[in-house]
Amino acid sequence: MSKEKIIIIGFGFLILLFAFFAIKKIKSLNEQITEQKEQVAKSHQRLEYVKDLEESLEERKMSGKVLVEIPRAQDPIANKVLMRKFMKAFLLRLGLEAEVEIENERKSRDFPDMVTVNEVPLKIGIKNYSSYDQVIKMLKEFKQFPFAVEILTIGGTDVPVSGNLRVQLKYYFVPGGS
Amino acid sequence: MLLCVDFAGKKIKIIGVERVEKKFKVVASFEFDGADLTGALGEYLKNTSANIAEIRVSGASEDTFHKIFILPDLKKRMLKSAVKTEVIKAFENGYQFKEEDIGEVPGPGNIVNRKMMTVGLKRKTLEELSRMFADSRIKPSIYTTYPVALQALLEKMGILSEESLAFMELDSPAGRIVIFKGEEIRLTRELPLAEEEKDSESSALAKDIYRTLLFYNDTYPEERVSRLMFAGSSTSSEIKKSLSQKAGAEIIPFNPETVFQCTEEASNIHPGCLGLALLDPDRSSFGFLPFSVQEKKKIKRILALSSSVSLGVLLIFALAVSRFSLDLRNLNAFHGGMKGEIRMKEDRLKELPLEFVSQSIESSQPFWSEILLELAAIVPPGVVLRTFTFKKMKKVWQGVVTGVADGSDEINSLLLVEEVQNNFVQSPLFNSVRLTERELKGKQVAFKIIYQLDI
Repeated sequence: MSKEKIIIIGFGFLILLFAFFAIKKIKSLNEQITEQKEQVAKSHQRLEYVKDLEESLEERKMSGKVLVEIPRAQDPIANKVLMRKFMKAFLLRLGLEAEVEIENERKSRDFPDMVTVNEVPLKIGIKNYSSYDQVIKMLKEFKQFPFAVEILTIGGTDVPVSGNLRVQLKYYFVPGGS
Repeated sequence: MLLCVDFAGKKIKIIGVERVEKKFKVVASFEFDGADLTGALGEYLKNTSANIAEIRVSGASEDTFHKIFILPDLKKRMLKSAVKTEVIKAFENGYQFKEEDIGEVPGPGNIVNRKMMTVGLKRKTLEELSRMFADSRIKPSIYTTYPVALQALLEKMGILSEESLAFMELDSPAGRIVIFKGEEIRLTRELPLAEEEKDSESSALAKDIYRTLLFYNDTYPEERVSRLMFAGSSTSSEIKKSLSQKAGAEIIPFNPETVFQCTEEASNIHPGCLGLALLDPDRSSFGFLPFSVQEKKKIKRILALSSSVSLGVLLIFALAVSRFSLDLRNLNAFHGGMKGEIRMKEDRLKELPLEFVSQSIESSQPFWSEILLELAAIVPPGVVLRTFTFKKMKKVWQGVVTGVADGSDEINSLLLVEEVQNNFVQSPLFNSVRLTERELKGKQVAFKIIYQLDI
């Protein structure tokens, strides 16, 4: 084989080697770019969501539509007692005699991590109610407070508490708040 | 300095030339004599290496040929091949040669032939000459023959024409005669110079020259040498005059001073070297390079080309990689900025937890009054709901109603169940309605409907 051929083959091999590594690197960079673009798109969506949410929350704050919080104490047992008493009084005021079960407070998983909200699960069993109107009124009153209904049943047994009208709900509160 | 080295004679003749504006200035002129010519030349090259910019060389006359071939008017490649065949036929295969098409020649009938001037130098001689410069920093840029160099000089002096010219360099211990006609080098011959001869009648040199002129006349019967030019100092003016008279040719003075500036008389400087200085290596048809040098040059060229191509490819890849890296970096920076903005917004959201809770409850709770009223409205007379339940399953509210339809008979009861189901389906507040249980209990039908709340 002549020297020229050896040189040409040598450099050809070198170019192939360059090409191999460069293409490998470009491919990897391209994949990283594609992945990053996807991440950017997701972040963009998240940003839009957070922006909208912030706007809406700010608007809510400005409008003064604030939920009424139930007074709380430092002691969890005292809190349970306070909560039970409050619920009973609240329902009694609506003409409803109810059995109220309060569970221990815990960190709520219904909200994203960016806000820390705790929840107290409640079970209410009402034995006697006179009409639908009374039920509707109760549910409307719930909306004044940070209550979220989870189960509402009339005649059903989905909520393990005695009564015809049974409601399972959560009371949300911000720890360290009022 | 341009160093012109002539190996044509017994001595190595050397001149150093510098270009001063449009004229050439001879700055050095000498010759090496004796047994160790190569050693002396090597020593000289070593000592003056720094001043030398280029070297040109002409080879020994006995190792060269200059011949004109008349060949049929063929295509270029075929003509080249024909010349090669003729040269090998005439001089065998030991020469490196070049050819130049110097015009048409009418052949028999209407046929037009081509006149091809060929100049050759023995390959072995070329390699030997090349070896002499092996240790030199500057390698010769061109190797040629003495007549070719001389032709360049005479052409520059404006002496060459269609009239034949015999140029004689008479310098002890040997002389040369070269006969030119236009661009053609028609005849070259060595002239041995025994000793200084005064008698023009009995001079062996004069006889030799005259015989050469006669031979030329025999070879080209229609032509005769009409001009004689002498260079060198080994011949008396009597001999020149006598030759001129015998040949009936005019003596033209040799005045290279028109082209060269020099301290000594230019006509005493070796004309072969002066001609070498005037050659244009790029344009000269008869410039040679030994195969070994050509091979080295070729390898150098291939190396340069290959490394340039590799470098180019590497550069392209490097550019592409840096472009992609830059894109990625920009994207990372952009993403970083976006994440920062999100973090800022989230921090702000942390300051609004009650509003968050309020919004979340509002968006996730159904409009109970509307749903309960709708539920009351879609139950026709004859149907009693036993239970109804609303349950939040992840993000979907699922409703279940159980009841009893009491028509006047089983069919009516079944129709009542169907009516309840249709009412659910048609209600805008409920969707994904399914009647999952239906059971006859006497004339009554118990049923269970599952649906989803549309909030």
